[in-house]
Amino acid sequence: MAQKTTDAAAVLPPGRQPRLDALRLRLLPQLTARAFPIILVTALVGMFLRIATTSGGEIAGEQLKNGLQIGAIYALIALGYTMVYGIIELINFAHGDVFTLSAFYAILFGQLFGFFGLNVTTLAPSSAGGLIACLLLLFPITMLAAGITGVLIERVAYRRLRQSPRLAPLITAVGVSFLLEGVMFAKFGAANYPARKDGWVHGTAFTAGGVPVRWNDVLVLSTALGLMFALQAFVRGSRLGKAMRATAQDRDAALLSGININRTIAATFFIGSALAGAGALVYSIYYNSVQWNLGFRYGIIAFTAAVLGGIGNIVGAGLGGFLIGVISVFGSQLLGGEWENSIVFAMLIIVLTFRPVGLLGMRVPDRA
Amino acid sequence: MHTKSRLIPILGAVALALVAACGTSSTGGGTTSGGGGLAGCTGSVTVASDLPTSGGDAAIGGGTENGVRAAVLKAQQEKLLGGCTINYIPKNDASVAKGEHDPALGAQNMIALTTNPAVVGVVGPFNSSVAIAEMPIANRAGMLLLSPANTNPGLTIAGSRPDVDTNSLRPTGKVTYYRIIWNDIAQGADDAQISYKELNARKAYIIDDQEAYGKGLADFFEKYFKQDGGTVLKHVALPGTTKDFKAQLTEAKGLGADLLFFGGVAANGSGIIYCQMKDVGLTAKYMSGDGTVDPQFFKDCAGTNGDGAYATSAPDATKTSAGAGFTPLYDASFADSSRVVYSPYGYDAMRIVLNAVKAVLVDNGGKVPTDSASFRSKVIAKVAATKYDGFVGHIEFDQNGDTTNHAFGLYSSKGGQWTQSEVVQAPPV
Repeated sequence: MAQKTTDAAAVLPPGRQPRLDALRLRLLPQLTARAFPIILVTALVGMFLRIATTSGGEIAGEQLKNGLQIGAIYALIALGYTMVYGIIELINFAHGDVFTLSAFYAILFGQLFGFFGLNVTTLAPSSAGGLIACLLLLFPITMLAAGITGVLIERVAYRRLRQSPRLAPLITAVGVSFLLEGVMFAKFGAANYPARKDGWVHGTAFTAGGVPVRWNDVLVLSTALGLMFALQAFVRGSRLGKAMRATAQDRDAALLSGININRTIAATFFIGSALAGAGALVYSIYYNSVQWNLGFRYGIIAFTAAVLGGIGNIVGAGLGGFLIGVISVFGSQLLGGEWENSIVFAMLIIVLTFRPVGLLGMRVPDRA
Repeated sequence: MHTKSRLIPILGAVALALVAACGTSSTGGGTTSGGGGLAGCTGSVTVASDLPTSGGDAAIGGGTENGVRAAVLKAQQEKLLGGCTINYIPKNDASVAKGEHDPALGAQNMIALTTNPAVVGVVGPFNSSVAIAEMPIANRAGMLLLSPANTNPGLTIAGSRPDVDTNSLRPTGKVTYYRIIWNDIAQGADDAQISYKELNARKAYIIDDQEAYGKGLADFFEKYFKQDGGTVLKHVALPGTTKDFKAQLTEAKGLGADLLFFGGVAANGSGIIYCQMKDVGLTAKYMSGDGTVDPQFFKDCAGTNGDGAYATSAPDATKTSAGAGFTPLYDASFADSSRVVYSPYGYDAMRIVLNAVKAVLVDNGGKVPTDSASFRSKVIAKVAATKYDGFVGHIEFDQNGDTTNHAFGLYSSKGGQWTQSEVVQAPPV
């Protein structure tokens, strides 16, 4: 990786300082930053054991599975946040709503296929093959539609503001978010919008250590893991991936070496949004219904996941998504469901305070 | 006590006989037939209603208003007030701005009605939020407000709800608001009783949607389920935006819950929770209140996955023997497809008002009282003393203005529909 990995200590002011100050300013943050992953893992194991002792190992295992499943969806959204932040340092607040809009795309395309007899609604209960055939069609077109939405948003709302103060695109991002929510509210109404009817996806695929794993769990987890590895390979290996990393590292230098910046940034938005589209498709199958304001909460939790993993870091975003999912599920069993949001956002504050670079280190443009 | 609906057939027979006898009722001051003692009555009496009859509430509010109209038409036909005529003013509290019931418009309507000296009583409103806006206005004007549908206990019982200041709704200190439907305390008690005695549940896991209605109902359920002898394993309050309840449901499974109670409206997760119970393999029974008896439930939990849930709501009176006569009466004036579960409630509410008016006229020597204020207060006094057998059962009011009739419909989900399986009489609370 050519990118620079920032460390907490590096941002400290240089120069001579009294010893105590040196200890306080340099050593302590370093220690807490270093210890953070260990503390986090210890806390997770502790929570798991606590649930296992109070409710039994199987319940603890099921909660772990629940956490990983919801975490997989957070991870797919977090990838889009982290890619966009990594390349243009913009927190794309509209990303959560792109996710929601894509879930509506998925439902509408699923209905459209009904005309050709290829419907998630009718095929899902009948056969595994039917659903897989349908998914093979739905995945590409939902991701394509989501990607195009992302590119359009970038072209309309962000590109002209690329040289503006950073606050300007942030505000248009919030504007786009509200715009999309308003459109979805007007088009699909306030109530939950039904996605698909019952099917074998709710059935048990296999049992691991007493924990029943359902087909929809398999679908969500395999989609998230598969796309994350594909993305990582793409960014590492392909020409476009290299162009993206170069643009992220130094936009002007990338421009000088002949990289088409506009195209590269548009591609970043396309891929990030397409991944949210894939997440939205599996979400709509898993949860049966979609609501216009879904994206706000999912978006901001996914953003937390991206920060936890290290913003700009693709593997970090995936890891952060899974961790946030598990933390929120464990936390809501141990403290009560009322605390779920508080736990997740306390996590955001703790990460930013004690380990601002995230678990795997942030990767952002060099300009400081 | 759990008496199911054994009384209903008897009450029904009585009610039918009374309706057949042209609206004689025991509030009629001992008169025996329509217009009895009022043959020489001259002049007119004006009654009104305030219901949401357009926008998102058009179907439910319009169907209720039709029930009110049916009562007015029936009374006019049988010359309930003898020679005196009945005028009826329908008001609509659904505003264009909100697209549904609007407390501000309700208050405006109530000012118009109370400042019209001819109006002696109002049926309405439909929504508790509108009632909160209208009640102080009607109370200051000494005007009867008789609701066919409000269930918020805070409207009548001081201290029952932290978010409703009951005393400020009655600035004069007098009770001028009555309702012929139970409140959510009775619903909570009823849900608890059904869960404990009929579904044989002992260990309940409660989820509510953090809203005034849902949290209130869940709290009352918790209280009465414990009183009945059940155990409440946990009571969690999750925001209406929650879409994933698996962490809670898995926990409920681990705790060995045999009942899941949801206090909330369908839009906040009734169906989602029920479907996710199957996803995590929680085999507990599912019980909820009238907010769940909503087609939205089947949008979130479709097909056979949605079968087997229970919820209470207003009983479908037309399926009881007391209310069997309502459908032909309604259909004589309105399309059957417009009839809603609250239509007979609208009818009975207006009939109680008209019976009270009649009793006042009889007491007044067959003449319409000239003083509007004293006419209104006499109507309220007669309503307070109501003993009425209507389509929705026997109605009397307690000192707070609540009905003593706590009949609920127990609904179960099957084939994408809520079907009333029985009418249950809730315990006195």
